[in-house]
Amino acid sequence: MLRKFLIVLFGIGCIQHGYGQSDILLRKVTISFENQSVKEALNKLKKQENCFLIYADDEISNRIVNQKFEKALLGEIVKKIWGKSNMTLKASGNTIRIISVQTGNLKGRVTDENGNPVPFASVFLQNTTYGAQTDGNGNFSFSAPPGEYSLAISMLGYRDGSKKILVTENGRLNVSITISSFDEELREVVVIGKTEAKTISEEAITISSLDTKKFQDQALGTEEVLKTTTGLVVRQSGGLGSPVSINLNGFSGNAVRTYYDGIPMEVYGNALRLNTIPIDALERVDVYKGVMPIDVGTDALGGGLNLVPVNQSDDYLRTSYSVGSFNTHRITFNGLKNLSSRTSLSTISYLNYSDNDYEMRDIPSLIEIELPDGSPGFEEERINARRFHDQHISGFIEGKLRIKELKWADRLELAVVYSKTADEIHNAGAIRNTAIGEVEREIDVFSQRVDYRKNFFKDKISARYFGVLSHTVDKINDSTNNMYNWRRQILDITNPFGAEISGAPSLLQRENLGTAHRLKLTYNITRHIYVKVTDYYRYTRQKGEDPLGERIAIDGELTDPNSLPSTLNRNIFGAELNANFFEDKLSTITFFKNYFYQAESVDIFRLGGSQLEFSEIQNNSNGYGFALKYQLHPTVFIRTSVEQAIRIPTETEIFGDLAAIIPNFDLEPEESLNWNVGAQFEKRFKNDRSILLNVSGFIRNRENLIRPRFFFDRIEFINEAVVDGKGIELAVKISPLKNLSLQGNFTSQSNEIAAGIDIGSEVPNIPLTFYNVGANYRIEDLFKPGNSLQLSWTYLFVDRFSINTVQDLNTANPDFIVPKQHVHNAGVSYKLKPQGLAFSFNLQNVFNAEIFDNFRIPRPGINYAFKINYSF
Amino acid sequence: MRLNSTLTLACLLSLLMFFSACSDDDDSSVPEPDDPVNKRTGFVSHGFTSSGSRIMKYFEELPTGTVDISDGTDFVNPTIQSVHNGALFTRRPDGSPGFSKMVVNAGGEIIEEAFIPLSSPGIGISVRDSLTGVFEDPANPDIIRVFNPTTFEVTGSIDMSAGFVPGDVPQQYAAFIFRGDDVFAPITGSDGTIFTDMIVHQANLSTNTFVGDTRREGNGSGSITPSGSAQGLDAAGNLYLPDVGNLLGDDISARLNKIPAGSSQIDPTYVFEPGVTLNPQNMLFPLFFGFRFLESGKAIALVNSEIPQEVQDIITDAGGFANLTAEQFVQVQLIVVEAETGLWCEIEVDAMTVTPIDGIPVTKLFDRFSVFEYNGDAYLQVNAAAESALYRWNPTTGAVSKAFVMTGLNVPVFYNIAEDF
Repeated sequence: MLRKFLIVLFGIGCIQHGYGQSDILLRKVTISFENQSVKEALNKLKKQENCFLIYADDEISNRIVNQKFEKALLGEIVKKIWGKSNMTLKASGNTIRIISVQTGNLKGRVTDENGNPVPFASVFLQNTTYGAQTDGNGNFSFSAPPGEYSLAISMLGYRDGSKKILVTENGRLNVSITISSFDEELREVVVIGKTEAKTISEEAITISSLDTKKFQDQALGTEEVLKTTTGLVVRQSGGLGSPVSINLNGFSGNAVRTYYDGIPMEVYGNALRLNTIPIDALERVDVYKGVMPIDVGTDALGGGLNLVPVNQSDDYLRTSYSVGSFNTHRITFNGLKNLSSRTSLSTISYLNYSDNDYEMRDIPSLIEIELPDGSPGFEEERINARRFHDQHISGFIEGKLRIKELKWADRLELAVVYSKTADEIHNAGAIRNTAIGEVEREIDVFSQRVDYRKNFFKDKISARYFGVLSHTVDKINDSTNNMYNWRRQILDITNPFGAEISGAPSLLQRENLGTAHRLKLTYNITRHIYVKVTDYYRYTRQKGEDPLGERIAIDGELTDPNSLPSTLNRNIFGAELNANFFEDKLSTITFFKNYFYQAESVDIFRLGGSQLEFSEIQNNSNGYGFALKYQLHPTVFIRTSVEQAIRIPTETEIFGDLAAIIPNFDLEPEESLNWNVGAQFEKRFKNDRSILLNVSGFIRNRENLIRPRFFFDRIEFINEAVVDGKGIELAVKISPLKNLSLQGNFTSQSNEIAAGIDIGSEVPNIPLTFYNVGANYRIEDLFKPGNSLQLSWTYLFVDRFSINTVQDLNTANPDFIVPKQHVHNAGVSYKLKPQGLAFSFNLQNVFNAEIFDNFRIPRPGINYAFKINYSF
Repeated sequence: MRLNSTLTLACLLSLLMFFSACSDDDDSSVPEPDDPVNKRTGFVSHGFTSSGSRIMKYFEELPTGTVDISDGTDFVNPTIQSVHNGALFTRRPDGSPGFSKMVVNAGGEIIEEAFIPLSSPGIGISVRDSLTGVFEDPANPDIIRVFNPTTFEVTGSIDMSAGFVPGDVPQQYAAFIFRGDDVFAPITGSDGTIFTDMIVHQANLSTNTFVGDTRREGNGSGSITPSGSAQGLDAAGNLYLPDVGNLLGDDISARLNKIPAGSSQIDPTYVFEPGVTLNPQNMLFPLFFGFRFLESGKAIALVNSEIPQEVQDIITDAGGFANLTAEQFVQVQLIVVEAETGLWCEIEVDAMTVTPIDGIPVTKLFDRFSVFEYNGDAYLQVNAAAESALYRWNPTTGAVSKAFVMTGLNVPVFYNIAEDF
């Protein structure tokens, strides 16, 4: 962003040392302002006090000043007129400089080609007054307003150099710089500007942060993009909008939590799903492997995914429309408008529609025949059939008001979200010879969010509070006697249950009132040491009705058990100490978590008496962890982390479902000791060439795992399973040419049952070995300067695995083995930068291979998507 | 809640019995076709992994010592319901609705040879001989399907809608028991309803017609748990059908019902309650399972011998069985299900005596178990917390020894595929 500063450029040395505070700021002044703009008020003050005021024109707010001052300090008067809290005054002689602290933070280290620190080098943003000098260890840090800059390094005896970087508001840019001495033959300056995603990926805690910006032009779903990370298996039970199964380092189900902007996605009901959120709406996705930092983690046993929404501060508009196979249409509209320098309105919104009618090959379908005696009977044929009754519609709109620089808040965001999904429910499990043809589900979610941030005591302490209140209405209609085959024919026979997925007809409507709150406080003890404490509290209350459901007798009166409310309170407290040593080469994080939950529900054991009886259960558990990273060399670091993680049982696991699942009030939380170790090598060369190699290993020792115990017609959740998991991951990224990048991700893992009857067997339905490789090539200035063409190709491989518990894959029943899968995807996008337009075309499963999703559900063959993006 | 608990036990018992019976007293004279490819002798084990999938394994010879049965072939859901001529008649192994005929091929692999698809999971299937078998299609619960076990094709249907069903309750057939050309089929409520009467429908397989029904009114009969095909037929042609009494535990005992030779009606004068006979003090769960005649003509059954002390304490604390809360009732059920109180007994159906077989330890009453005969010995399964073992008992000499122990899977059972049932 261009800024027209009226200031005189001062030398770098002045910046480093700053000015001493002048008496002018302490001058006592009497003055009044009536309906004057900020600029008019400053001019009046300047004339009256015969001083110089230096400030940036475009930082002046639109407010009107009406205020009287009597013998007030001049500095205070300037602050009142200016009206923003995140500013500071510098004075020298008769001159006062108003400096906005609405900045991003840059920090980094300057080293020579041998990895030795370069002390006392000047690091500055060209054509600005922002900069610093490296200390004795080559480290530097300073702040600067958001914008694009050229970062320059100057040091006697070394080559000067510069590189464009982008500073975002409140962003953290970590910059490593290698400069060459005049003596060296290779006289180059390599400046590495790290994105937020990259910075996070290099934390002591093992996180794979996926920068989604580079995928924004492409016609890909978030779930497709995530498949190109290590350790993560994302599977669906159908097409767009179908239930998503995430397997992370061998964990799945409730053990892997998904977060949206740091808040568990479950708080939003089912409105947000991994496969309905367009990639355009996200800035990045952080994948936490086993060890969760306290400011994100709740009770995630095996890690989690944090989907970070787009969070720009400049005006922007980004909209896209994509159309693809299976009558799939996706529209996004994201934007932000700064109403003033302090206030902005933004939205993230999207609309998805798909018939999901892709073809499945060689599936069984029931047909009715006449038996030899003339009575009706059945045969089964194997056909290629299109899915039907699998339509998905979802819409999401978030409106957000952001106010900055209030007296009591550095930043305050108020957001309102409305979301609606309407799904025709299709077969979610294994494909059988009949199809689900009429079940429907609708979910409406209305939620409100508040996000408050404030720094105190010269940024020594920072506070952030995040609160959500949501109301979800979830309706299911499963009440037909019809039966369908895969030819979409209604069979003559009727469904004896009167329902397709439930055991009995259901028109269930559930209402869930939920609220979640997170408070985070950070105290910077020194530049190298800070502590964080967080507290996350969640409350949910659920009740509903089912006009067709079973009734229970309470004091002789028939009652719908769904109308009996259940509540859940959970509180997770965390404390974390971050400390860096040896010139920040060694980073450590030590944390503690306390998990508390209390739940109350109708006690099914005591139903049927003369009054409603409720049972309450509560539990208090502790977890802890430690992470360490050591920068061996500017190009190499090693890290390790460990956490004793806890997962709190769900309400259903404790209280049952008033039907098939019976309560278990003695259920204990699941536990897992998660350990990661890894190393990364990264070297950059001139002309944007680079190589990155990341290798990591993990061990997961899970105990007390909650699993269902089948008791014929009923299920009870019990603590029993013990699983030892281990694996290795390898990520490689090479840019051999300026515009060519190649990447590969490899995962090999084992999740062995360590106790009980299946000791030695792999946990079923989890891939053991999978990898992907991809290439991206960009042709710049194609046809017209500024325009670019990007070509991409990805190959994904998943080795065979069994959906049953087996001792040995080689002797397992091949009918229940998911075979090796090879998938090739390709994409091309053309960007007309001056016009803000981008067109992309993506082909998935290019070679039309037979591939499978969760539990061998067939996935689509070759399919396409075309997308047009417009942004400015 | 009590209803649900009762249904649970009823389902448990019904399923249990499908696994428990092995009898070769099929009186069919139909010659068996040669099958040069598939095994017709040997043994098959079956058990559950903790995730619910099933593993089956073929044994050429009867094992000894301790045998690990976990390294067999995995399936989603094959429940063996009948064995004939070396073939296993099961629910479909991939979990699809319908029935399958599974065989052991020459290489010892257990494979699906043929299947009959259905629209809903099948309930019961039973084979009389190589030409005739029956099953019930849940889509048409008033119809018994007749099929050819050799070709595994449906050959006919029997409309049973004329059979008596109390009230407006959907019914299903708990089992099919053959006597000559007749098939007797006790009914139970498919929605979990417990009939207070014991009701048996009868059809003729030569004409594929409904014959009639018989019932023992009242007396609180629970769900019917006959255990397979002709296990209850004695040499004289008398048919014995066990029921499970009243699972609520209030003074109604499991009874052996008798349809005398030449008759189609339950003999109301024949009153034999083996659980009470064994222990007159056991009025809570006086149950017995696995009743069958052996080749020697002797009958056996697994009989509940006592009320666990823990249960007696709970009842005493509650002030009597009638005062149990729902939670206590479930607690009692769980204790009873896990309790090792079952005794294998010799049953004299005429003398109405029950004699425990010396040397065979107590076993869990409600776990699935296998019973088969081989080389003149009966093999009776004992499930205890420590192990699941098959005990060898010679009905003639009375000699008892532990044959082998099964490990590696939950709820292990063992079948002699040369013994039809």
